[in-house]
Parts: sequence; structure tokens; C-alpha cells
Amino acid sequence: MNVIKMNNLTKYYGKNTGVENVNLSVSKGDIFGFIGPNGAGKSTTIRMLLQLTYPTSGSVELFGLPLHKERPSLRRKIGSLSSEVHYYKEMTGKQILQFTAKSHGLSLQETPVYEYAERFQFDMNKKVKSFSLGNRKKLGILQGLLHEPELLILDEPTSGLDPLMQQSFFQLLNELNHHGVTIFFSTHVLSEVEKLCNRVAFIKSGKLLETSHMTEVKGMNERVIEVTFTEPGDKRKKFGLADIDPYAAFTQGVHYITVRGRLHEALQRIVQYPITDISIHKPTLEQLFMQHYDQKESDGDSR
Amino acid sequence: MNLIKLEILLLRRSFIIGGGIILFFTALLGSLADYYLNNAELLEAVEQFPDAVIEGFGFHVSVMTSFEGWTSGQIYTYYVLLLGCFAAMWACASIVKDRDMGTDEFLYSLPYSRLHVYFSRVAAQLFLTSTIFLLTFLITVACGFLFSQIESVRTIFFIMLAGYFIVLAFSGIGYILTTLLHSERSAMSAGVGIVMISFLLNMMAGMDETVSWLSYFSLFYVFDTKALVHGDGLSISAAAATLGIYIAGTALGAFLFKRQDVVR
Repeated sequence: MNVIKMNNLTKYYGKNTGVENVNLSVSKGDIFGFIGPNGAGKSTTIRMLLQLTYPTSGSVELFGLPLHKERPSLRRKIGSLSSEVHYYKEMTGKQILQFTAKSHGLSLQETPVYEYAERFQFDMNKKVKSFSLGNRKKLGILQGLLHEPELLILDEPTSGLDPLMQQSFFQLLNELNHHGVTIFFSTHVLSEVEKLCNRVAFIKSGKLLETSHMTEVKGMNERVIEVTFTEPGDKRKKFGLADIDPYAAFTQGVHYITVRGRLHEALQRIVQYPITDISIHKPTLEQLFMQHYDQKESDGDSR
Repeated sequence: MNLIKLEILLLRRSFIIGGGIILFFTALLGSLADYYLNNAELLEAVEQFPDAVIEGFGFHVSVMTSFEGWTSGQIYTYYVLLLGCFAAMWACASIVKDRDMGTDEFLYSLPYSRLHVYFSRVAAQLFLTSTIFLLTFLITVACGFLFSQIESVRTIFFIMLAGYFIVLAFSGIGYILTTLLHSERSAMSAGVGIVMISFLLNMMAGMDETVSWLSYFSLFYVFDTKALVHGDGLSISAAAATLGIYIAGTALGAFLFKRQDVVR
């Protein structure tokens, strides 16, 4: 069953594109990572899911219900956390939580909020105006989870949390997921996606580039070799680097070669020539997706 | 806590300050009524004021023979001016304040519809405005009994009710503006601005016959308080016009807000 389904979802802000023709579905029980650089359209998409903004065209469905009209009751099934959490400064954390609980028809005692507060070492009796960003984020987590939602929509959820709290938060998300909660979260931090997600999508400049299962992405087993040869200039042809990677790049004296598997063979070939500098690292998720995308595009062209 | 209580909590400081100022001025003017009413020289001097000032500030000597007349000229003018400013500011800031504080994402992701949020705010502001109206009326009557002589409490009530209707009309205009503004500061300025423009237009209309038409654009001109002092009842057409502006403004604001995007 699809918990989230987007069909050609498009949002324009005047002449600017928020997102364009996004097609995506998230199944029940997924932990779905929505990845992209700043300004890619992640928050725009999330705002449309939360009915904070409305699409210019296309449609979005949650739990099989289209969101072309406002559905406040559907929000009882959804927990959300925005990237920049703001609350009324004169209220205490407890008042915010009570207000949220009441909106869901609950009293605070009926919710797991005290357990979560202990877990995140959060003092809910202080006023919001005295909170650091980290504490506001903790309040956001408690506020988003107190009604035990079936779907969590999280926009950059860990920004502002210290590493220890991030760990606790991921642990909690995993536990919730084991209890059947579907999680859709946006981030630009690769490690978060690797730790948590079973499916990922990459968005750039408002366009969805790729949707994959995490196992596929991890299975790519790619490495990027950055090498500077003693002999100056572009040596891609002369040293046969294009045979290793047809998309090898040369910028400011450095050759960038992406290798999938067979790393030792590539290195044997490269070290035949005098080298000034060399480094090997995992590609960023963006690089991985871009390569995957480029490859798909060129496969499509050749067909 | 529900949405109405939340709005009252958010406005409580402004309510205490605004209410305090209005009630203080009402008590001050109410207690000084007899000093002016019994001072023939002062009233003669007032008659020499420019027409614009007389019209704008309600120095109508012809009715300043009773506490009711004093109320219609002095207490009424300052009460409408001050409560109008506060009510219009609250209305102008209704929606835009959440955008400014960044609390809009939190508020609109709760299981309340946009219209529920909007009309809860309208209801809370109506409650606060009505509270100040009733307290002002009670203080005026109390001042009348304590420091002067009251002939008709009903007349005073109608005078204050007329002012209340004008204040509601200012709120109605504010509800249209709140969906169009981008910061709470601009909402404050717009709220005070619409009341001041209305007041000044009425004042300028009194300068000369040739510009008297300006008063048609002023809410201060809608009710004839002198007629109220003379025992006429509250004008139904004026009440309908002011309440009409309030209802139409509130409805238009709701319509504009219903599908407005929350953007950063």
C-alpha cells in the first residue's frame, strides 16, 4: 500500500521553479530518504505533503486520499518536524505539548511524551524563549511524535542536534519503524541515509533524478581516484584513463577517475606513470546519483 | 488550551496595555467633564477653534451641555481612535504574526483547518475588543454618576455602541490586510495607518465645504453622535454599514487565507 504518492507534482513560485513533475511513491513501512542539496526542492515537496503549500499542477495522495482540498483530520495520522522549528516564545515546552495533544484530542498523560522527554533529556517546564536550537529541535521531536502517528514527515530532522542526540533519535526512528511507522525524511547528510533508509530518492534543481533501493546504491561499490601526475596537462588519452572510466574528468591539474570494483587493476594502470599526489575516497551520494543518472541517460540515448 | 485561548495568550500584553490606556483616558476625561461643561469661557474659546479641529476632535459646543454631550464629543473620539488602533493592529497581525515568528509551520500542521485557526483568532479578538468596549462603557457611566450628572444611561450606551461598531469595521479592513502583509511590523503600521487616515479624512472634511466629500471615506463620519445626544436612536443604516464592513472583511480575509501558501 502506498502511504505517499506524488503524480507529476509541480510547484512554481512565480517564475521560479520549486519542483517539477515529481513522481514518487512511498510504501507502508518504508524509511525513505529524500536527498538533495540546498534549494533542490526538498522542503517545497514536504510543504505540499503537509498542505502548507498547494501544487501548481499534479497531485499528491496520502493514505490513498488526494490532497487537492484541505484534510485537517488526516494530520492526526501524520507527525512532522520542520528544519527550522519555531514555537511561541512566551509558552513553556509543556504548554506547547499540551496544546498539540489537545489538537489531537488527547491529554498529555495519554501520550508517550514523558518517556521521550526522559530519553532526550528534555526539560519541558522551561519557556521556549530560553531554548537553544537543539532544545527547540527536541521539543519539535516530542511534538511531532506525541500522537503516535502512522507517517512521519521530517525535514532535515537532525540539524541542531548533537551527535549523541542524533544517535538517540535514529534509534527511536528505527524502533518506530519496527512498529510499522512509515518515515519520509529529507536530508543532505549521506551518513544519515546510509544508517536508516531502505529507499532513497535524489532531487536536484526541482527535478527528481533517481529513486533507488538502498541496497542498489550501496551495491555500486564505487570509488573516486583523484590523481595528479608529475607530467603536467591532461593525460586521459595518453595514459589510457578513459579505458578505466569513460567519464573521467580533468580539472586544474587533477584527474578524477571513478572506478566500480576492480580497484587494484585501475591502480596498477595509474601507478605506471610518475605521480605527484593521489587519493581514493567514496563518492558522495550526489556523485553516485549523478553518475547513475548520467549512465541511464547515455544508455537511453544509445538505444 | 485551545486556539481561542492561544490567541488571547498571544495578545494579553497588548490587551493590558491597550485596555489600560483606553480606560485611563476614559476615566480622566469622564472625571473632568463638569470642569469643562460649567466653564462658559472655555466653551466660548472652544467655539473659536477651526472647524476641522471641532469636527475631528468632536468639540461640538452645541451638545456640551450635558454629560452625554461631553461623552459624544470627547470620550467617544478618543475611545474610537485608541480602540480602533489596537483592534485594527490585532486584526492586521492575525495571520502575518505567525509568518513573522516562524510558527506558521507548527500551527498549520496541527489537525485544525485553516478556517478553524482563522475564525478562532477572529473570535478571540472580538472577545478582547468587546471586553474593552464594555469596560469603557461602565467606567464612563461610573464617572458620570461620580463626577457629573447622567440623564440617560441608554444614550451613553448607544454612543459607545456606535464607537464599537466603527472599531469592528476597522477590524474587518484589518482581516483583509493580514493575508497580504509580510511582517508583524508592517501589520502594526497598517493597523494604526487605516485608523489615522480615517480620522484625518473626517477632520479635513470639516475644513471647508469644498472638501466635505472627504468625510464619505471616513468611518468616523458614519454615526451622528450629536443626534444620539438629542435622543435619536442608533442609526440602523450606519450600524448595518459598519457591521457589513466587518463581516465582509472577515469573510474576504478567510477566503484569501484558505489556500494561501506558507512560504519562507
